[in-house]
Amino acid sequence: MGENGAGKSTLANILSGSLAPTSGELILNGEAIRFSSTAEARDYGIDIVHQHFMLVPAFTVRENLLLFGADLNKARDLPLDAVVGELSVGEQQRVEIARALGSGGALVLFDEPTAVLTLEESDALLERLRQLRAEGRAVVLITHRVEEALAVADRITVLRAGEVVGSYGAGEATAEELERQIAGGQFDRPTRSSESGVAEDRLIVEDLFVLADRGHLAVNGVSFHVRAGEVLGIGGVDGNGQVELAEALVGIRPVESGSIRRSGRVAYIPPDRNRDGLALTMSVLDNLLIAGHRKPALRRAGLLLPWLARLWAEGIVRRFSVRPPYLDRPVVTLSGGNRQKVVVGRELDETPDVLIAVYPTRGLDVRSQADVHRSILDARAAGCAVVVVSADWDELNAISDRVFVLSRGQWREER
Amino acid sequence: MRRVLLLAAGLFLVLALTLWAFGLPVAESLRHLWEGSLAGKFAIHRTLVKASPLILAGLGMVVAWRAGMFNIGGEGQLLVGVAAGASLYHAVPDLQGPALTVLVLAACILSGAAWAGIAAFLHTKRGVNVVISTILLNFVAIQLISYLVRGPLQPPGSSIPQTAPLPESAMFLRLDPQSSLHTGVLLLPVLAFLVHLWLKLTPSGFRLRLVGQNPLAARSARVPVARTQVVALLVSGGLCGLAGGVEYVGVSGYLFDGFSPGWGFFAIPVALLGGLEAWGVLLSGLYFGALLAGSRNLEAFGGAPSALVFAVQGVAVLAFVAFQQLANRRRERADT
Repeated sequence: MGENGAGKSTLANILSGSLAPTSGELILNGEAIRFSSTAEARDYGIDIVHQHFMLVPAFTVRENLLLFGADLNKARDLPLDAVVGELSVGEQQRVEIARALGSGGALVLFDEPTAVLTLEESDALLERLRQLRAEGRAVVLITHRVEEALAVADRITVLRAGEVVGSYGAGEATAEELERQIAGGQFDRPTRSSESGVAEDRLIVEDLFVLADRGHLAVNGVSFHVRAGEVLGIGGVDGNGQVELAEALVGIRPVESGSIRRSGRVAYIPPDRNRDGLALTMSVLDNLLIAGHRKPALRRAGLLLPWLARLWAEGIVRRFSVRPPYLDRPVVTLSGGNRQKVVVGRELDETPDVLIAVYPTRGLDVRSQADVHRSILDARAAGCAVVVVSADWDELNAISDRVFVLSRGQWREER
Repeated sequence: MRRVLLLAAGLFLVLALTLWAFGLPVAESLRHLWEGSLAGKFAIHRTLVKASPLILAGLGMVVAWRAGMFNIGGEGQLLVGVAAGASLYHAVPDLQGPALTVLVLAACILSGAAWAGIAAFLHTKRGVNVVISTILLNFVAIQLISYLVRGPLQPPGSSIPQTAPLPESAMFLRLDPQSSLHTGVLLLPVLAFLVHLWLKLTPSGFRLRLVGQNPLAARSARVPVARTQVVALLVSGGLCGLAGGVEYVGVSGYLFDGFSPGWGFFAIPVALLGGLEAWGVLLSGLYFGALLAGSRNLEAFGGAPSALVFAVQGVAVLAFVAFQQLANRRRERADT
């Protein structure tokens, strides 16, 4: 366990052979080993399930599994003939796991596998980990979720800034103790203030039908409204029309029938910061300008002036504490949490009238999660109408005024 | 600045090595190249004239490639541009002077854009890969020119496959009758500046670059991706059409088979060596313009084959791309 940037992924990369250690040695079964490629690591029986999927998007599930020598018999429950790039993130994750598990190595490493899964899917995964343990395989699980580690691990090690700061046996640590170790001290969890009273409807959706990319109906007759100063949470198993609904609300996916009425400026935190939130090769400044280039305040005579843009961007980097605070670095050099701060900062710099946030804290550590939640709740307090899509029930409960579940594109109220 | 100097040194090295590989006396060949391209007023004029179509089409490549539209069809767009200019003159042969110049250039720009527009249409409506459609449209254009100069645009009674020459009054001005330098060269810095301004300092230029870097992020930001790509291709085609037009109105005055020695193809390495920057295209276009001007001298006096320029260009671009990769990898390593 550890924060974003604590060195967990670096460690995983060393174990899987994609990064060489500067010094020190690896001992596997009493034997000092050295390898210089992922193929060699696999030969030693080390399998890794990566945080970023190692799949070929243009291939089908079957082709991907065969490519990595996985056992197709163990993947019967997957849509073998579907093209991986067209699957939802959660489904892709399941393919990624099947890919890595299939070859049957002695050590399996999971790099934050549950970050994109729903609670139900996560439980199934943890069950799978216990099975692997029973089969006699060693399992290393990297996770942000304290409760997962407590539920499944025999030993828990906490990393901070690249060093081991604590190690516990099963039953030795409490959730509070772990959270404090991870964050390196106390920090405040944001809390939702009480209802902000009667306010106007900012987003009115009536009898909405939306198609998915593959042409099937993803949103199937949904109606709701969101008031100013209210957070509407949308949960449910990934791939049940949440992303399509959000995209329709933002206005980047055509509406099949029904109506959406929005008032004012709509801000958008897209589902996958690396895929559709950021241009990874561009600088931090340019990625902030993805929202900022529309601001009249940054223009003179129609020209986007660099010094005005920099001044504005520096303000965001400071207020949302993006680290390192360098505007000219490619955004790809930032950690996941800081990349998300770039997205959140540029969208919430001025309070929007409507905010659509999809998986806003996916893959973030507890502190970064709290930062994002605080920003969303600040927007709510300032009168923004917010829709949050998440697969994480704790998140939905913590920040939403109302929660709905989308199941096969249909609506169910939870609370 | 340091990078530009390094690049210049690298290009010089590449040139010398290529000469050596061709079995030519290096020092003497370099002297011929120098005399043909940069030694004295007339040589410099020649270089500027040769660089004009390269720079204009190169700017066109920058606009399209920055938007992620890998336009390989500069040659076709350039030729169709000139064909439209020549057709216009053929249709209204009584027109004279600057009015004709302006109309011809407008025809070149619009039809170059229209030719690129075919690829843009196929891309947005049918998902056809732009690289493939633009490459293939080149061959259509080359055959089209071949047909036009032997058929509809051939002056009656003439047996030479070329169009009727434009009247002198419609040609770009030449300040010195001895020199090939024409006023069309003034367009180069102006257009390079405009392209730079557009891509670097306007909101629409920013959106164009964003679409090129990550169309999905652009979509999330509610940038009309398809429209941006279409605009980039149209402007690119227009600049290529203008590249042909400037040669037509500035140098030859008529259209013939083999009108372009491959400027539209040359434009791609010009743009790449220029780092897909407008000012970079200005520099690399001048370099290759000088090489083209100098190589004619080398051919005449040094006995070098004309393919030399192509070889130098190929080697230079390969070396450049390889070094860029190397630099990227080193930077990545420094970051992790």
